[in-house]
Amino acid sequence: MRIPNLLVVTLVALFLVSCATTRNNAFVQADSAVAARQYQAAAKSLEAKGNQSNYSDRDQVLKQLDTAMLYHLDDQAAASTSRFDAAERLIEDNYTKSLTNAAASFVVNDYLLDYPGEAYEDLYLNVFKALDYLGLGQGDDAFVEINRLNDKLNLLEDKYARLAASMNSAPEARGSVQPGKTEFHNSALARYLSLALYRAEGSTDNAAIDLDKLRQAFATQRNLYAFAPPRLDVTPAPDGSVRLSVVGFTGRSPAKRASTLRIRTGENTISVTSEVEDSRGRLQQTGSFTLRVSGVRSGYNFKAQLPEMYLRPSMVARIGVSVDGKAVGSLQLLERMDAIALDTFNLGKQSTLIKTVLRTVSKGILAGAANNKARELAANSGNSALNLLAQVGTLAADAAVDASEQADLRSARYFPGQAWVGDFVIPEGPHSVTVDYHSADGRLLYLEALPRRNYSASEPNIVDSFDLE
Amino acid sequence: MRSAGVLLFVGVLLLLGSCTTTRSVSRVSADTAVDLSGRWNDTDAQQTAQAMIDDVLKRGWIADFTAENQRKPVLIIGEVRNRSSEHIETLVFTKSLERELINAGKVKFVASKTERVAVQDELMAQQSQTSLDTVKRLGQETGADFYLSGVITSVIDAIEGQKVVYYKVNLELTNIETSEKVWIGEKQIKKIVDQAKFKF
Repeated sequence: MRIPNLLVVTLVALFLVSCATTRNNAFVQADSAVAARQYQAAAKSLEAKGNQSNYSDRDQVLKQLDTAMLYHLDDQAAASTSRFDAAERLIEDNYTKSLTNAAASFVVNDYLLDYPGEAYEDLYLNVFKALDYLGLGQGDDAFVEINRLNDKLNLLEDKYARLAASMNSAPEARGSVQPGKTEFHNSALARYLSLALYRAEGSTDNAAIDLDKLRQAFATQRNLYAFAPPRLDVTPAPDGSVRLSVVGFTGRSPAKRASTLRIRTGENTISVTSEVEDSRGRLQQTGSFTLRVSGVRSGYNFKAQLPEMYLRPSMVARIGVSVDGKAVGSLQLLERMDAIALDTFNLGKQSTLIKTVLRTVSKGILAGAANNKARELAANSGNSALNLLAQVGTLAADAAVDASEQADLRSARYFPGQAWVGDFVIPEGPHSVTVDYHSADGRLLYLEALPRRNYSASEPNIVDSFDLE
Repeated sequence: MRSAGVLLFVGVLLLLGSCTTTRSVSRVSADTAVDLSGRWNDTDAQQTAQAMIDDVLKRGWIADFTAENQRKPVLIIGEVRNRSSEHIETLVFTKSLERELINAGKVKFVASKTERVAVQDELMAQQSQTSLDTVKRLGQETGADFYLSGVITSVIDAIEGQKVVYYKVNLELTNIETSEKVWIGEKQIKKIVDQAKFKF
């Protein structure tokens, strides 16, 4: 009974590392509510006790990021801030764990490890927290968040370099993982918020420094800021008026999909198939070929699946702003947060590739050897029932190898893709501000009426608006 | 059985990843320095308050004012701006400073702007609700002579798992009538934080 035992152990081990994904299906209710702009309902559905399965214990960063963003969209600043705080703490904790857990990451599917957050999620959560604090009237705390973002940006490449060094020092390491590079070192959006805060308190020199840094962001990171910088003024508004700063967020952050490479061996042949997920999450074959290589043994099945990030273009092409029903101007594109997400995703790409290849090859060889041994012993026994069992076992082991290797496709669901800004001088006092979003063909996509409020010269007067289309 | 060994290793790793931790709590003296995360903490607040108290009491501005006006100076706590990259509760050290200065008997404090709102509400309520022999009069608040304000800044640098955090706390006393600055105190704190290792 040595053969079945080995097969059973193989299958059990492989199934252990093949948890099913909790993607899209679990989020139908929340996504529908978001599409209907019922953000509180969406947040509640994700936090409801009956829906615990939306997020596993390993996905708590995502739970906090998703619900924080939804509460932000629903103008519940306190609820949003507390969740962004929790997400930020977990991201830091999970990063520390990943440093010490480098050995495990060579063996275990990334999906089974605590989600450490993508770089752009860790960075931009501070922007939304800053806006939350502004909503709560806590300007100093908003400054803290902008400073935190700038600190994180300064240390971003070092963070991934440490991770790579930790992986390279693991006993399981084969070769050297090189940390990725990013062009993103200076966020124009963070500079703009800092500028608006300094300007509001009359600190023109500091506002001018931020404007200079904002322009540097465009000049030195041309691949990320491939458009004209917005026209901005650092001087305070004239007496009796205020400078209204509107930040409009559009689109969605990039999503991830699986890109799969399958290699199957036959007697003297190697068959290669590549697949990529379509918009519905189904695998579509993108290519296949067979090579004849003498000496290759049959029975080996390798599947490597890597996460790939792709843009989700926004329908919004123009954003107008009206005050008390009168158009005052339009917003200008300031930051392609989606492009930055793609760029910073590259920081961890090579380490993911190396881990996946090592894991795939180890599992493929292990399962292939077990399959071949089972078939060999069954054939030698002359027992047809055992032969059949060995064949069934081979199929099951191949299926288990397939199921066990999944790309880690986790990412926050409700982050926007672009940030637009505009400054408008308006009379001090109570006003109703509306923000209208238009498509490239001039169609009105959405009009957001911000709550009527007082705009005072002693306040920053920064408001934000969203159209996630 | 080498394969089974590898499988066992995989299983053990998975089990290790799902271990739970237990929590224990022990009480320590409030002035014990405990650094956990490397962030600004109670020890930093205490050290800042102590440094500021020591400095503000030994400078000549109190004696100068008392000699000139034949009374103790009156202070009000103003804004301490936080321009660091951490959320710092500045009240922790401004209250310590206030307490020590009052207890030293050399200055007086009036309620801060936010504290006064509640006091003024009470005073207004007394005007209609309190007996005439105990009601407190309007317009009798003591005006402060000096305004205490400040700013906290921080700089962070890190490489290869070591992080250096540098905080600078600046407090200053400004004569409200003349806008003359009579005292500037500074406390610098520098911490080196090694990336913590988790144990399962």
